[in-house]
Amino acid sequence: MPAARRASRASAAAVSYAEASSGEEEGGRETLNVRAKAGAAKGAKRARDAADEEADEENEVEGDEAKDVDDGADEASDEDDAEWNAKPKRRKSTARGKKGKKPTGPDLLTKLPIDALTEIASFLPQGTLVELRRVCKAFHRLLTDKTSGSVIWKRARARDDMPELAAGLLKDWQYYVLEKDQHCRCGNVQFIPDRFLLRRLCRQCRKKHLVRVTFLKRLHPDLHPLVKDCLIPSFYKPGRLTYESSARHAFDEDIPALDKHLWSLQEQDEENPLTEEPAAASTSTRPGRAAKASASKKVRKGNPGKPVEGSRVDKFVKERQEIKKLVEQDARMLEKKFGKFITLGDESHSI
Amino acid sequence: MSSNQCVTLQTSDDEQFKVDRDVANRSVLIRNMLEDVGESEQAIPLPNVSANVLKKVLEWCEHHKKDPEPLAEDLDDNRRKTTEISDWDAKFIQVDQEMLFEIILAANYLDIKPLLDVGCKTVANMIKGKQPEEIRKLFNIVNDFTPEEEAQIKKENEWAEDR
Repeated sequence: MPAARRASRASAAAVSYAEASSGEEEGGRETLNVRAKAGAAKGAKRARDAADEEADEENEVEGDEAKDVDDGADEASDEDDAEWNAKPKRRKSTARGKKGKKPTGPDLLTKLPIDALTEIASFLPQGTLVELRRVCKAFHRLLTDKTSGSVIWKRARARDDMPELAAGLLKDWQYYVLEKDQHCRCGNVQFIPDRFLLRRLCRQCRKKHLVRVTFLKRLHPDLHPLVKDCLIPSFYKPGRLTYESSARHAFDEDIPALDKHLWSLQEQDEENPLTEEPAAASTSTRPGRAAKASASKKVRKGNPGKPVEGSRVDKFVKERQEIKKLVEQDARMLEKKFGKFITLGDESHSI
Repeated sequence: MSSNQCVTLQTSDDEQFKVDRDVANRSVLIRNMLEDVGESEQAIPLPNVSANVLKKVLEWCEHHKKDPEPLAEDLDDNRRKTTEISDWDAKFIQVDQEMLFEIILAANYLDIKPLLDVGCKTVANMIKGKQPEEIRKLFNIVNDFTPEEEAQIKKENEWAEDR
């Protein structure tokens, strides 16, 4: 459709809609207004790149505004979301390199109001949602956003009869990939997900990455001694996924971040203890603890193995223990629900 | 209240449509307006809908005027289970993309849930099973990710614990 016509129509709609504003459907109005603005920008500036850049700018704005409206309802912010939704960053990014491929017609789909897009996405299977996230920022936001995203994925999971997980460690798409994808991260086909490690790993990768938790101290003497308590280990053997093992194995890449986090908490605890009366706490069970804690301030690898009750380290370890319990509970539930093997067609694959 | 009364609707491009009240009642927006205003000879302005779109929407409303009211919450789960569209609706919605999106916008604005569903299911069926590049091409969507962002999203599909 000619840009000029579209522009005039869209702006007419926006203006009159503003007049008729009924108070409800704020989201819809925002989007429509911006849609009109985008159209107007397109119509006015025919000078190619300038116009493109402008329209792009408007697109970004639209996203922000729509998001703002959403946020009004749900202020809870997510760290990951924050990264994607950081406004200044996104505005700046309009100067990014374009892919060269210019679409031939107007992009009408992503200009639809958020609630209409949510409706559309609610009819899509999870496999398509995973792909849709990669299409453009508008869809990425739609599917990552706490409000619209969780509605969409929950509906899709309900259709696939996938139970909701208690631990909450997996993002929606990661949960889908874990259960329904067929590939290990290295590209090998791997039909068995490890629901404790929350990863799909082929036998080779398991052998390469899995570390026996009880060996940690020997292998990495410098690790924070509580790392072993914070890891969420697999109940399965590294080489043979189908066999449970009495030894617990953790994923090596989880270790450095946990180690760093624990040491930083340790440092904070030592500089600024949360507990009011460390002396009282220490007399209760272990008299030497307070002394040890202060000693470890000077020597980092003192003995932080026993955190002071109520300290940051202590809290974090307990938090992780809780999560570990939930992950185990989820894992057992998923096993019961889908079996230990993922079945594709009639074939059941095992290692 | 007589339900056979006629209602006049006025579009954004100043065309007027005279329709039966039970046809107009398919739109929750219009129904609420009529209930608020009561009996009135005045045309109801629909500043968000143009004549060619309203014509199409009214065609749908006319055909579905006898449909039972959908139960708001009860139907929700069932509706999600299927993307099937009735034969008549499928034929009705065989329009170009521009009209399809205009119908969705109008159904959204006029609050005609079943029609919104028909439109959304149609778009969903167009997207279903496609790769990102195919989706972009089909709907003229520009890939506005930087290569780094794209790599990041791909990485996110894999489970990576933050700490």
